Amino acid sequence: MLRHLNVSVYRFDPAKDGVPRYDTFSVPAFPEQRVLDVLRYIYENEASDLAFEFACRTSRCGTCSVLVNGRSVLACQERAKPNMRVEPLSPPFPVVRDLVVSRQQVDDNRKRLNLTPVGLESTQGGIPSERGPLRISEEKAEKQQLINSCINCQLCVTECPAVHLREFEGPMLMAQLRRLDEHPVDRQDRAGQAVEGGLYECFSCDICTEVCPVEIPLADQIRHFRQDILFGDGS
Amino acid sequence: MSKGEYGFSPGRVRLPRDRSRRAESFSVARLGRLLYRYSGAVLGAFVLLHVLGQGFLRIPALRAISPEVGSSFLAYLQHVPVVRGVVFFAVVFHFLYGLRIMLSEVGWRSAHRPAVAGTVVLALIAGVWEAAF
Amino acid sequence: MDRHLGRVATDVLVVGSGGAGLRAALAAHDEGAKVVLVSKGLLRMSHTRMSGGRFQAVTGFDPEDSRDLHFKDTMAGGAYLNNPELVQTLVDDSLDRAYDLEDFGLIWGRVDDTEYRVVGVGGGTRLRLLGAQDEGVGIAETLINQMFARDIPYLEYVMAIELLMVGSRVAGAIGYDLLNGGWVVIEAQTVILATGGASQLYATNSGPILNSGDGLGMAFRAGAELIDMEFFQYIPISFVYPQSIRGYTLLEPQYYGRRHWDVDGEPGHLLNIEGERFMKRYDPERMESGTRDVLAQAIFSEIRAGRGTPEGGVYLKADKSIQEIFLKERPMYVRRILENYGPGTARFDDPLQVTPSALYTVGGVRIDANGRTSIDNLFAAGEVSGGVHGANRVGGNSLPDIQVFGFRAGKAAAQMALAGRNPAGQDLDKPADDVVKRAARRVQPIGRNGATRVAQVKKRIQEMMWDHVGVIRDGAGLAETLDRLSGLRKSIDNGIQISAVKTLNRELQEYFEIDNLLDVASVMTSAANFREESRGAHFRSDFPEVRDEWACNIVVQNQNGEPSLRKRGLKYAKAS
Repeated sequence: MLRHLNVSVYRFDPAKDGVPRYDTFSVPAFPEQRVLDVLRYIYENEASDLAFEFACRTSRCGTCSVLVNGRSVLACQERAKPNMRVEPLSPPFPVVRDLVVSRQQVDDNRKRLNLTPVGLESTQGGIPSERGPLRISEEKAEKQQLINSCINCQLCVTECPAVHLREFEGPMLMAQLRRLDEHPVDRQDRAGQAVEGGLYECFSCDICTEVCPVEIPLADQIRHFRQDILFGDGS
Repeated sequence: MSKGEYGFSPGRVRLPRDRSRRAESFSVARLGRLLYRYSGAVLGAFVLLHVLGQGFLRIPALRAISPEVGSSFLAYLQHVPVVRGVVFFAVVFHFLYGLRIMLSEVGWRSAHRPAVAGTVVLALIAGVWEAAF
Repeated sequence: MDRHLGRVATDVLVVGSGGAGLRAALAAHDEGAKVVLVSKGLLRMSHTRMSGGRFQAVTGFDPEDSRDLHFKDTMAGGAYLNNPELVQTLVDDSLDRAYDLEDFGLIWGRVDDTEYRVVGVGGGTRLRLLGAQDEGVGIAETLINQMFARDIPYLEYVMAIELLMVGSRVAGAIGYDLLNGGWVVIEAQTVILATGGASQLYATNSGPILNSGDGLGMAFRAGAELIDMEFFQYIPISFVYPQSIRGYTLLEPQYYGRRHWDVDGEPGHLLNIEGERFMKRYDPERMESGTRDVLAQAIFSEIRAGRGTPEGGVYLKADKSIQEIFLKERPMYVRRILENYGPGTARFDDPLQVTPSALYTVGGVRIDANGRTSIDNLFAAGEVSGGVHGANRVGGNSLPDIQVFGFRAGKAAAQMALAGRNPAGQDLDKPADDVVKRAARRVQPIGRNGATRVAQVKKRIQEMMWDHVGVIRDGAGLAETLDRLSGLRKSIDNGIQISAVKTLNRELQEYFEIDNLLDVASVMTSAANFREESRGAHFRSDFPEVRDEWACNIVVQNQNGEPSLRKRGLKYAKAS
């Protein structure tokens, strides 16, 4: 049985270091160990200045995303490997320090696109006299919920080949725009926003669907969008 | 949830996919995308060479440069089994994969794993068939 | 907003980015006030996001349900120690806040175009829970999107350290910018604490790593009244391994049998290492369908008596016939079980290992129906506040709590700020000296190279809290813990090691957190020691019965750094 894991961790402080380096650690192995367990061990016992991020430990907060042996994963979800290299998410995200990247651009994009249903008066706090459930079919409701369960982990954006090669805002935002396009009260031109964000830059390769830790069929959202633009969505 | 809405059945359920070994798992989607790119490159290269070869074979001005290039070049391309296999694989793969992308935009939905795997298998059959027989 | 300002001025300061903080920020903004929201981590690192997203509200879809019943269930669940005014507010407002969420972009699960799917919960008498597949994530994202739509300024990685006082009123907070390293002074007319609970008091907990009771600590040090602090809710079953997920909730045993869907059905069976269905020795009547507190105590006792598994849990044997319905209702849980315990367990062929875990801080800063605390201009909402849930919380009540009181606190804080707007600059140029001094002392150990790691200190606190101020408590253990806590407090700076790194110094953050954890721990331990009875989530093995003389709340306040406790009479006479 394995006794120790051989872990190589990316270290970089833009304020001090000219180039990144890799520190190697030997970490005791135990059954069912996660990458997050390894990082916490290193922080608690070896490198107390290691910068890494996590909060929920169970794929809800989406903040522990890292690259393990070159593949983007959630540290809390991925099993530890006997030999592994842990790195921050690759571009488009700038490194803040060590394994932490800045996601400010993502939230700025979300802000710019306004991912709330626009077209309702009561979103601004006024309470209508007659209130009740929104009219939406059970099937459509479940679809809304599925896309709204996106944890904002950025794994799909990191692995999307179109994001790296073209002007594309990535699968996550396309799916969110698609959700709002189908929302019963939203009246904004979501298809227009999507096309502007690079809807037609997507290669339709399904890598995003494959990496999504909460199994949202992201590539299908983009296809649905293109289909609707071609034929109209019947509304 | 009201009683009896889904019912209790001791049958086997389909479990969600285990995402905890992603770093070492094989990515079908990545394979599909890479094959699509490379098969496209192969097709482009083949067409280019084919046009050149035909030119040397049929256009008098080019033939004058070298009468052998055209005939030997085409003969070579047509008779090496591996080249024929690769070209056939590329044709079938690129056609089917591209067809799926186009169909998916007019409403045809398919799960990507079986679709890519099926495309690879069909293209392999075509390529091997062409190379071997 | 410029991060490097070091000084920020606003009408309303919201501390915390969970459901309560975000809802408060929206309400305050909509009321016309200038709002700034700070969170010590990223916006999305909240407890709300980890919740199952079940929201208790009387919708009218269950014709036999009523607000009266919701009120009664909540009071009974809280062993009648709840503040009835807060409970009434919760019951009256929860549906409106549920509709707000749908207006904001969340879609509740439904059975028909305009009819919500409502389900039941342990401790509730009717089908009253709204929910959706996107769980807590959906609620958090919906609120974040609304905050973005309003362009409300927010500062991530700014940890509030102390409240700033002008005279007897709060006038802002002093925070530490963990991203750049340095102090930030935030002047505000009113401050809303929405920092969540203190589940980090225990190593086996179901919350996020950030829930270190920061708001409780700050409010206590500033002199606010804390109430019901002896009550901490422990969920009976949670993951035992792997380490990273240890303590994350596995719901209730009734979900693992037909009981959850059928009142005549059996729950899943709890077995110890000897294969004995041990609940028959603890609760022969209800067995595994009993309340969370009894179940947690029984499992805790079995493990402590050495009848647990080598990994430190007991077994839960699920009924295989519910796997389909369980998967349909709780797909995320099936995935978690699959990924952590393997396919055999996910198919319910093999038993699950389970252990009790710290779930929810029941008590907190005492508030009124508008979130006002006992200190002027200071508001609180959500898990950091106390009084809504009494001695124990009923499942499904925490989400309406954060929405109802987040909204009310935001609105009231904005109105107060707008009414009392002082001329710019006001009197904050000289914030109370002791606050500044206290804050400055906190950063002295930066760069010190001692032998004690911050992580070790935190572990020490967690171990003693779990052993003596956890599921089962007794007078001797509580008294000993109080001693050890004050010893730890005195010695903490000797030989501590804190990295000197400026950007995202995790050790420094944990050092700040430990300060709060120690304060909350001593408040909780004192209150638990004071209450010589067992009631709700508080179980004393030396006083195992409910005692009439303790039908009261315990209020704790800071007196020269030590908790001072007093009884407070109940406003609600238990309906017979």
